[in-house]
Amino acid sequence: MPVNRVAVLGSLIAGLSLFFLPLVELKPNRLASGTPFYLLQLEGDLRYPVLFVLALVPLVLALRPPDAVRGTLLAGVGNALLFLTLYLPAVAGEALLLDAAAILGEGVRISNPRLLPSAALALGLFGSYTVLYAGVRDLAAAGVGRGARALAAWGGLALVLLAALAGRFDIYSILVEFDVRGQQLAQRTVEHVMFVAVALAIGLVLGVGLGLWAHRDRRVSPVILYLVGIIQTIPSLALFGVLLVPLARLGDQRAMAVAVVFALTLVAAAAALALFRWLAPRLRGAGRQVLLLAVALLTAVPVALLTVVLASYLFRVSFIAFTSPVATLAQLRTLMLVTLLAAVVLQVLARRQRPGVARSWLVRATWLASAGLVVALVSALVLASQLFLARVESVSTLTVRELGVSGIGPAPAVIALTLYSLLPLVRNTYAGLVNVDPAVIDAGRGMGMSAPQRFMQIELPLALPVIMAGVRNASVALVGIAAIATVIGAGGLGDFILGGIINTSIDQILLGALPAVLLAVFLDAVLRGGEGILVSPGIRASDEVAAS
Amino acid sequence: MIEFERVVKDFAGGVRAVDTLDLIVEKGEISVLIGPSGCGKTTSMRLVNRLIPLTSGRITVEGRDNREIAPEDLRRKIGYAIQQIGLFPHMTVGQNVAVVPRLLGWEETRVAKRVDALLELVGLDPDIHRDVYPRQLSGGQQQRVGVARALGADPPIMLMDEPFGAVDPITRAVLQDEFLQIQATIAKTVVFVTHDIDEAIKMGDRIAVMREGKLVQYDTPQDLLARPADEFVRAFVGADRELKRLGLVRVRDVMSAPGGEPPEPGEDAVPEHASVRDALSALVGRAFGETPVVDADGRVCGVITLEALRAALRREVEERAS
Ligand SMILES: Nc1ncnc2c1ncn2[C@@H]1O[C@H](COP(=O)(O)OP(=O)(O)O)[C@@H](O)[C@H]1O
Ligand SMILES: [Mg+2]
Repeated sequence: MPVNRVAVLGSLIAGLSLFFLPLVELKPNRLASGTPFYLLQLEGDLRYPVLFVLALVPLVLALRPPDAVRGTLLAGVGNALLFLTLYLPAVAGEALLLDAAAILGEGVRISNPRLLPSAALALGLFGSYTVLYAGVRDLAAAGVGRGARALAAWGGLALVLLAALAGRFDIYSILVEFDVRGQQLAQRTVEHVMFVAVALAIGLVLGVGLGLWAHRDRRVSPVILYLVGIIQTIPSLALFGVLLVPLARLGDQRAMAVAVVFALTLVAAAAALALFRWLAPRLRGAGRQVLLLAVALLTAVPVALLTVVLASYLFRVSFIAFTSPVATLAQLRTLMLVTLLAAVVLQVLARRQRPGVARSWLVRATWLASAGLVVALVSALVLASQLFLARVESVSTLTVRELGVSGIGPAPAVIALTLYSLLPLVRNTYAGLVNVDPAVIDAGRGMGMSAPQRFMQIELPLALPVIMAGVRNASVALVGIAAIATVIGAGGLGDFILGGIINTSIDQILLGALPAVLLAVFLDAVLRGGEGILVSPGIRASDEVAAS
Repeated sequence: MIEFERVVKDFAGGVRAVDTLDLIVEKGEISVLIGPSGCGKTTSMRLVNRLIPLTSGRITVEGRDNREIAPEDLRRKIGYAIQQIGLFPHMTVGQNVAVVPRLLGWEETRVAKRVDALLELVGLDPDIHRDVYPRQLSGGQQQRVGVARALGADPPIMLMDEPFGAVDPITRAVLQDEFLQIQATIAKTVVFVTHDIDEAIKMGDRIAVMREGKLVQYDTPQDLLARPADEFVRAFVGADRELKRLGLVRVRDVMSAPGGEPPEPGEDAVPEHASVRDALSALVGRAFGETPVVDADGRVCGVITLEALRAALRREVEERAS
């Protein structure tokens, strides 16, 4: 009879840590270190030992025959553990806080005492989730329906959220911190999201463009892949620093002058490229390498200029578009949200329909909603641009700084992030396109598709899963790197983390780190969802082809 | 009709893949290009719909120089099926078949009708197969979809490069028979590339044997087998070419009426539409005794004897001599 080893593991983790490790720490104020408390050391009723016993129950359940009953029991215990591991310490903590003076003794300065979750709480939660997971796996194996499984998987978490909303967990130090800095947190989170979104948007255009170019032209592909590979090796802290001076200088320049430089270098780069393509077959060894480098550098200048100005500008404008209290912008934001939801829902519905009239209408409605979304977004950006540029007097005196480029602050952050997004995007676009079966492209050609038709109808859809994987990689990495941007005064969630490190305040660090982690997980999930919608079931990695 | 006039194709690096090719593919006929690997069959075929530009010479399609027609337009009027099939994996079977009609801007209702008709034509049930994805099909079914897709917009001309090359021999035979049946009604002008001489004899109205880019012989299967132009063709068609010739004659045409008591149709009775080659095999099984011939309903409609065979072959030889 197969023992549920996952449940055993979860139970041991939860049980042992609740027994051997401190559950919470009582801190007299934000900075002082705390006094640890163990679960079984807590005074009062029997609830605390019961939690410990409950943690060990899965050891027995795991021995039952593997069926829906075992799954239900394990999921039930897992959910209960999850909730109680958070709830009971909060209850106990209130008593501890009331008695703080007595417990902590004389001579300790008590101001704003708080309860810091400790090791047993974290590992207890981890163990609970492991048990829960074991139960859900049993349910899946027993063929229990989706709805019941979802309830089993998320029930405990929903309970936790409800309790949190009801103020039951307010005592935990991170929520105390949240109470104090909630307003700031919202602002920093928006900044953080905006960093990632703008960098991704520009990175996507540049990266897919470069990947496409690399795929189309075998002679330049080494240049491009080499270049984006190099960027990735620069430590992010260094990249922020390196950008500081040139961006500050660039900011001083007149926009017109920069535009001229851009045009000239573009021409020079094109000429160098043509020269390289002509010379490449005739050269070998070192000569080729040198020429390659020259072409790479020359190409990099106009691309870099464009990226810098566009990224800085777009960040400022998006930030206005998504945070400004101007009424029209607020309405446009609502419109974006509504059309986005509508598009997703319609698309999911369309996917479920068998082909036919109903489906074609759903598809059309999806396009309409998507078009609405694009229009709303563009209008918001245009309106925000007007607000942003309202200060500008004339184009001739316009400096690049007025377009948002500066040595410190968000501009270098967004630019660095854009650069970091390039490698996964370029590489995956290139790999996705290279791996499209040549026979399929030949068939498309043979049937009379033009080059753009082949690209849109064959190459892009077939490369999409790989490209989307690159987007996911990039976005998750960017959420992390964006946290470092705080050192150049860019804002974002890194502010809390850096501040927390300076103040040795774990709560403050967590206040920045937790949303960042959630953001990364959320982005990953959203993009996976997008993949499910955009990628044809005919080429999805899993075998669950729409049962039609 | 497709006409090759002194067509030459040189690839970069000095490979002459097609060398002064003169060839006429008659309207409604299947012309098979055959020859050893690398002899230029695929290249010749791809010159027709301009997937490859030719170096010199001229190819006319339905009387027009193919360079006068924009490549996309040309290709949409020429069906294209290849060994690797190249179905679009992200499209359903129905969407695959609909590609060319949609490129041509047909109305959706017309496209839908055409898709179902084509799937039926190639022996697939539209209701079962229209909305599945290629990876859910067997190799043979995929080949069928490949043919249906090539027939998409009812092109007068078809280019088929080893279209049944990727399936097992039994499935291949079935697909060949089915295509011949379809061809009997749709009468397309077909360029059919293969390296399998048996397939060439079975499918071809005419067979073009190529060697190193040059056309060596262009004849009907009967003439090719009876009079190979040179040692190369003789070796290529194989030492059993006389047996292969028997494969081209139907039992129906050489059998005689059963004399007196019709024999019981035993295990080795031959169907009347079988080839004489199969009949010979049955004769060997009966130690050259009389072998019953049965019609489609399994009733005995004649007998075949060694004498009848001999007489048929003698007639052939005399016809050839005259
Ligand atoms: N794109 C190409 N570039 C260079 N040589 C080619 C190309 N395609 C085919 N060839 C050469 O042309 C010759 C004929 O090829 P092909 O028509 O594919 O032969 P077949 O189809 O008869 O096997 C071969 O020698 C092959 O190597
Ligand atoms: Mg070939």
